[in-house]
Amino acid sequence: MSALLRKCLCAVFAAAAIVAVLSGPTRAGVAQSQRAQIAIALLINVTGVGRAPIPAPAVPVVADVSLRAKGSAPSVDSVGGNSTSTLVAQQTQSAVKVEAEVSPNPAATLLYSNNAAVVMNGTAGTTISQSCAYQVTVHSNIISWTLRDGLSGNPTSASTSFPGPDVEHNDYQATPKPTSSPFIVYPSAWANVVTASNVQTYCVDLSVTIPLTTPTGAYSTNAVYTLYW
Amino acid sequence: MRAWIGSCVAALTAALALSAPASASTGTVKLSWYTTAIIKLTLTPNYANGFGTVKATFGTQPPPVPGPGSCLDGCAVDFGAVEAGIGYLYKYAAHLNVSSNDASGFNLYGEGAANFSDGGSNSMTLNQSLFWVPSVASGDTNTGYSAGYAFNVTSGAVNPAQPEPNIPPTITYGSYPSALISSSNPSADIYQDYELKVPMLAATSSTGTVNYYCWIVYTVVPK
Repeated sequence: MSALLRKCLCAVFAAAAIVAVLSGPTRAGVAQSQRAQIAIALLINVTGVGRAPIPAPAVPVVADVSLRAKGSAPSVDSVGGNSTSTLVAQQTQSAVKVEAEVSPNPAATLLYSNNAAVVMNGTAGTTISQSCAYQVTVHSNIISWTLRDGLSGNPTSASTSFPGPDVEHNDYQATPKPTSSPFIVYPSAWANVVTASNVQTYCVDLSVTIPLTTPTGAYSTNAVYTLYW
Repeated sequence: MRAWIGSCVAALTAALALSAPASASTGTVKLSWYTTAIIKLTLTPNYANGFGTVKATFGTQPPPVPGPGSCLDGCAVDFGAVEAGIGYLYKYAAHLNVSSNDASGFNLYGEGAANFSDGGSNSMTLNQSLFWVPSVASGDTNTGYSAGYAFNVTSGAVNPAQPEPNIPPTITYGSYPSALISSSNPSADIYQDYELKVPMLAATSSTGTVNYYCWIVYTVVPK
């Protein structure tokens, strides 16, 4: 009997452990459930120590074809060409239509931000910051809720990335905290921002310490906020 | 360019033939010319099986569901029914094939002709709602939280005036914006997913369901 009981308890604990692992960072705790989640896009334009791949301006290409028969007068080279022989650089365009059928979402007002995307510009080896880069509001009448945050991934460009904890946040309602905290990066468990009640709005200061070796590029990630109760 | 070369060669041949009886000596003729680069852009929306909308989710991804306005290898990038305040990924949104004879490569620009609009008073700010995500020809593993880059509304001249739901617009540039892609190769295949972060007030109980649209215009220019 006791052996059977032990087996049952083992099975229950194993199942609970599997659920906990699979739930990952979207689960705040045993007693709480995820109620809403939002993401704010962070774009960090870095000027690195390497070459800056800033696209060169389009240069008109000119055509100046001269043909001279033997004995005829030499022509004069012309870089600029003339009105009848100048051709501009060819450009080609194509367009695609993007559509969406948006329906109201009553839960959309539960957790929201005043800014869906933040752009920051900086040089490798420096720290850049933006005061109250965005606000996060919990609009609930719940007595006790928990707000958690984290990055969806390391800031990533087309070719490389730098560590997410180099991005720090300072969440406050009136006065910034003395120090900022590095962002947790998925798949690590989200960090607890605050446990509070009813309607609350938080300013989020961002600071990014760009590693010295970061190549020039646009680095993107998402700051994800999840509400539980 | 070939026609020019043919004309030049024919004219040169004729000139040499005519001049031959007048002199027994021979000489060389130096021909030099600049020629415009030839570049071609082919845009294929919904370029692979499995295209469509996926709600932004961590962990196991739901299957893509395209909207009714989309079709394989064409049509629109239609996110279909989405909810305000939610983020979505659209897989296999756009394949851009660029081929050129310019060894210097090309710049690819991609901009919105205007913000999202329903054709009336409702709108969504484009660079706060629509993002492009680097993708692949097949085996796309992006999620709604993958690193994305905003589409901006162009500062160029758009024709026809927006919002216009039926006619693909063109943009005339006085100066070019930052390039989405700056390639040092003359030809390339570029694959993109799209992300849509729907603003929470894009649709409310007072507006009901709102059908938004915009045009993304890609421009390729030889370097």
